[in-house]
Order: sequence, then C-alpha cells, then structure tokens
Amino acid sequence: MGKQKKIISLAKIVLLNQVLLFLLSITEKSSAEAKKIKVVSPICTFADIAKNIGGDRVDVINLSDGLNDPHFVEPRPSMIIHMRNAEVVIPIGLRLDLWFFSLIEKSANPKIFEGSSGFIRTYEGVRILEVPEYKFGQPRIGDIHPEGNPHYWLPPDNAKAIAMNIAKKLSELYPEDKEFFIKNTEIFTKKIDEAVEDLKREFSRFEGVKAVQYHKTFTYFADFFKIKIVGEMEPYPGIPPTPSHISQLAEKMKKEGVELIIYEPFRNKKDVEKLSKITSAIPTQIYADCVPQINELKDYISLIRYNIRKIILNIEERENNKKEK
Amino acid sequence: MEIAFALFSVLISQEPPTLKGRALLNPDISAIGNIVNQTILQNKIKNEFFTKEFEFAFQGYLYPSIRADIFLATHGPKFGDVHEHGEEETHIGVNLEEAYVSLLNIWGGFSGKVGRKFIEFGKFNPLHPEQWLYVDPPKVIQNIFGTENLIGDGGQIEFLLPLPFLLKIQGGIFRNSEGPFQDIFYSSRAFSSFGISDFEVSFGASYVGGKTEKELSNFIGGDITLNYIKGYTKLTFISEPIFSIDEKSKFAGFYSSLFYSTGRFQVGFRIDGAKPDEEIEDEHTRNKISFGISPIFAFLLTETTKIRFQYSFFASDKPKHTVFFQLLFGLGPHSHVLQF
Repeated sequence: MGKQKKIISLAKIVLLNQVLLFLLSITEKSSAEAKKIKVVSPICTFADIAKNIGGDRVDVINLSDGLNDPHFVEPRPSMIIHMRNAEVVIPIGLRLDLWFFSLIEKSANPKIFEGSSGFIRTYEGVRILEVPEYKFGQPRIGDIHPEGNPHYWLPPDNAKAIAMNIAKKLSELYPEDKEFFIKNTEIFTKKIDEAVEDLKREFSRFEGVKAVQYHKTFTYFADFFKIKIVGEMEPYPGIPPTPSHISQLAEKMKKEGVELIIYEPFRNKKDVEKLSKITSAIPTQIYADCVPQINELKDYISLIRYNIRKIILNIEERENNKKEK
Repeated sequence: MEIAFALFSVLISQEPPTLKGRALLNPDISAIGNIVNQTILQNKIKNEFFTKEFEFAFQGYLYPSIRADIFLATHGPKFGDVHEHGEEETHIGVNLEEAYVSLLNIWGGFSGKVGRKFIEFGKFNPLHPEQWLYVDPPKVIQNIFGTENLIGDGGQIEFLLPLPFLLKIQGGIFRNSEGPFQDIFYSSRAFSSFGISDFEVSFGASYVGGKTEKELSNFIGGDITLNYIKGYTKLTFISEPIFSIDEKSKFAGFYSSLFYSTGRFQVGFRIDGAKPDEEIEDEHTRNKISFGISPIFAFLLTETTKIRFQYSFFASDKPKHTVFFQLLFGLGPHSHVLQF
C-alpha cells in the first residue's frame, strides 16, 4: 500500500514537472514571438513578400491562399484576434478585399485602421490598369472596381513595388532595423530579377500568344509577360458567362487565333471546357496567389514560375499534337 | 539600394492623392432590393406579391477610427399578412432603419456604437433582411419582437478581452423605436469564437429587457454557430433558443438551421419551435410550443443577384403551409453581403 502511494506521489511530481516545463516553453516561445512585429496579410503573396522583407523580425499571418477567390474569403470571427494583435496590415485595397477591412474595423486596434501608422497602402507606386472612365450613356454593369483593376500583385515589377512599400512602412515604424529591411528588399528584388530573367528567356518564343481569361485576374500578369488578352469569359466583371457572350467570344477567339483560356482553380471548369471544345483553345489553370501547402506554388517566385511554365507546357503540347496530326 | 529606396519614397510621396474614377467626398452608396411572392395555404389559398424592402445604404469614414452607417429602407407588408381583394394596400413608406456612428476604438480594446441600430441580440436580430439565410424571420423572433428586427435608439459599448482567443462582451441602453418595449430597454451580449482547421465554432449569450405594455419583460438567448469552410464549400449550423423571464422563466422558442453551399448554390432547412399565431383562450394550449420546418434553396444569378425558394410548414391547430419566392439584387459595395 505504502509503495503504491510512493509511486503515485512520484508520478504526480513527474507530471507536475512536465506541466511546468511545458508552461515554461510556452512562455519562452510567447516572449520570443512577442518581440516580433505582427503582420497580417489577406493573401499568400503579400505574406511571402513581407516574410522576405521582415525576415526573422516579423511574424506574418496569412488569411487566404490561391485556392480561394480573394474577393470572397469568409471572414471568420476568430480572425479578429490576429487583427487585434497586429502591428501592421497589408490590405489589397481597391475594394477587392472588403472582408479584410471588416476584420480591421472589428479589431478595436487603432494601429491598423485605414490611415493609421500600421496600415500599408500596398499599391502605392503601382500603375493601376483599367480605371473606368464613364462617358454619358455608357452602360455600367457588374462588379466594377471604380479605382481600377485590383489584381495588381502578379507582375514582378509590382511585386517589387509592394516589397518597397512594406520595407518603407517597417522602416518608419522600426527605424532601428531600417538597414536590415533595406538589405532584405535588395536580396528579394535580386531574387525576383534572376527568376524573371530565366522566365523571360524561356517564354520569349511565346511572347504575343493570344489568350482569353475567365475574370480580369491576369491582366497585369499578361501585360508584363506580353500575353495578348483578347477577352474575358465573364461578360462583365463578376457576371458569370452567358451563352450569348460565350458564342460571341468564341467567334472572336477563332478569328484572332486564341490559343489559351486561362483561369483560376476556383472558376467553373465546365464553362471553360465548353469554350475550349468550341474554339480548341487550351484550358490552362494557373494561380493568382501562392498556395503554401503546394510545394511548387509555395511562395511568390514559385507562383510566377509555375504560371509561366504551365502556359509554355500547354502551348508546346498543343504544337506537338498539331504536328502529330 | 538605399538610393533606390529613397527615390521610391519620393516617387510614392508624389503620387496624386486621388485616383481617377473615385469621388472621394462621397460615402459608399448602395441599394438592395428584396422582392417576395408568398402563397399561404391555411383553410384557403392566398397569394401576395410584394416589394418586401428596398434598402439604401450610405457608409463611410468620419475619421480613421470613426465610421458612419446609414440605412434607409422602404418596407412592404409583414410576412404572413395577405390583403383580401378590395382591402386597402399597405402603405410603403421610407423608414430610417439604422443610422449610427461606430467608434472603432475608444480606449484599450473598448469600442462603441451610437445612434439607431438593430439590437445585437443573438445571431439573427442584428442582420439586415438581405443577409438572412431565409426569406422570412424565424417564428420565435416574430413572436417576441413583433416586427422583424428589434430596433432601438441609443448606444452600446463593446470590449474585446485581452485573451488568446476571441471573447467580446458588450452592453447597451436604448429607447424603443419599434418592438415590444415601451420606453428604455437594456441589452448585453457575450460572444466567443474558435477556429480549428476548417471549422469555426462560435458561442453567444444575449440579454434584452425593459418595460413592455404589461410589465417588465426580459429575454435571454443563447446561440451556437458551427461553420465548416473548405474552399467554396460551406456547411453552416445555427441554433438559437430564447427564454422569456418575467414572473417566471418560460421557454419562448427556438430555431435551428443547417445549410450547405457550394459555388452558386445553397440548400438547407430551418426548424422552428414557437407558439402558434392563433388566439387560444386556454393558457396551457396557448403556451404550447409548436414546430415548423422550412426547406430552402437559393441560387446566385450573378455575384450580387440571388433567387431563393422556401417552403414552410408550421404545425398548430390550424396547420399553415407557405411557399416563398424571393429575388434579391444589389448595387454598390454593400451588395457583397448577398454572397453565400
């Protein structure tokens, strides 16, 4: 009986010891994490850029990825905690991520409100395309963003501008680490330049290729890599394809010799396949944002590399098929 | 690199403060239409087609931490009301549905709202009709608040507790605008939510109380929401029981709903437990809870246009069958709430 009691007491001590060690490790971890600058991003690309610029000085939380449409991410109540603890937020803006702004509003965190010190105007210095200019009598239909096309982060030039904006904000807030952020921006910019040089070389043979996109997601990307966008499957931004629009678009595609239909993974694949059947343009699923859980899409540079190589692969396959025929 | 950085800083500081196409001085203006056809089968068939609501929203910032939201709405007849032939049409007038200023940060995690607003009691009451998962409000809400939402003029203060998980508490004092209370009434709510992988589970407890026609009335509600979100697939379960507490505590009723949505479709059902409409003399029978079920199907025509079908059956002494068809459409930034 006494021996049993001793064993139980010993087990209690061991258990208590383990609990204390666990609590100590949590405290140590939290104090180390507490020193880091808390950054919250609505998309994986901005999170990746922030990690590249902030290095081990930042703790970046990403709220969505390329598997979802960044327009319509479900803002979960538990995300408010990330916002409450944030020192810096990197919104997309241009009325694309309204859900992210609703989380900012609910955070009761004055550091990150629009216009406050921790709010980055991410697209500053970026040339915004497709800013609507309305004329009298012109129809205004669909989910048009009045400040212009908000899918600006894909081309490398814009990614570099975003990196600069993040570095500038972090340097303003933490001037003691300014040199570190500038150096990291330099390294990141160099990495982009090297990747782009390779990709441009690989893609040079295909420059000028004609494509149709589902939504106006790849306008900036196509502009940078000299892919000619002939039209969109959506008759107006946010309005799903209609039979009459698809039939008109198919005619145009045949006339112009469009080779590709580019679309994101969350679009209606059946619509794309139907159009492909009529026009024999190749359905090419590429991504508008990185996906951390997919290795070949894990960060921004992997993302643009994947997109360009997927396009090259599909065009080459088409060429080979033509030759075989 | 430092030169490039400095040059970039100069470049972006010289960016024009405005962009083409944006009228900076205007608030965000939106309009949402809610058109309903209801067919009621209870002894005989009655049909009514009406504009349930047209809502106009004006929203914007007064200061980085202060925003204003104004919602004007035209209201059609109440759900369940059907006009007999020759009966005078219900007047459709413009009401100030909500108009409040949000102080997003008062101090140390405190925030607040002042003005006219939907009372934050439970999950359903704070929502605008275009945000409902159903065409009509749950029966228990209609029974308690008389109108479709409890609205008040006043203010509330909210506090986000400094904890590693979300816990928000709030309390408010309001003067009656519409609903069961005669003058001043009080509200409070505690809300918590946890995200685990693709699941989000939220709990809430709400209170509202004040003087009604007869006596002091208090209502206490609990709510639980379970969301599973994976890409475009979403499963949502909501349940909200409500208790009425005056001389003694009584179960006022509940509603529970389960919805599955993917891409442009949403399908689900709601179960209602509440007292029936009929005037019954016997107190025991009058206080008996009856049950109803409503299968619902919704389809997004465009990102901001939605149609919804709902069949509702409510069992009581006089069983009621209702078939709803609803068209919702939106213009402007507030219309994003029409998404599933």
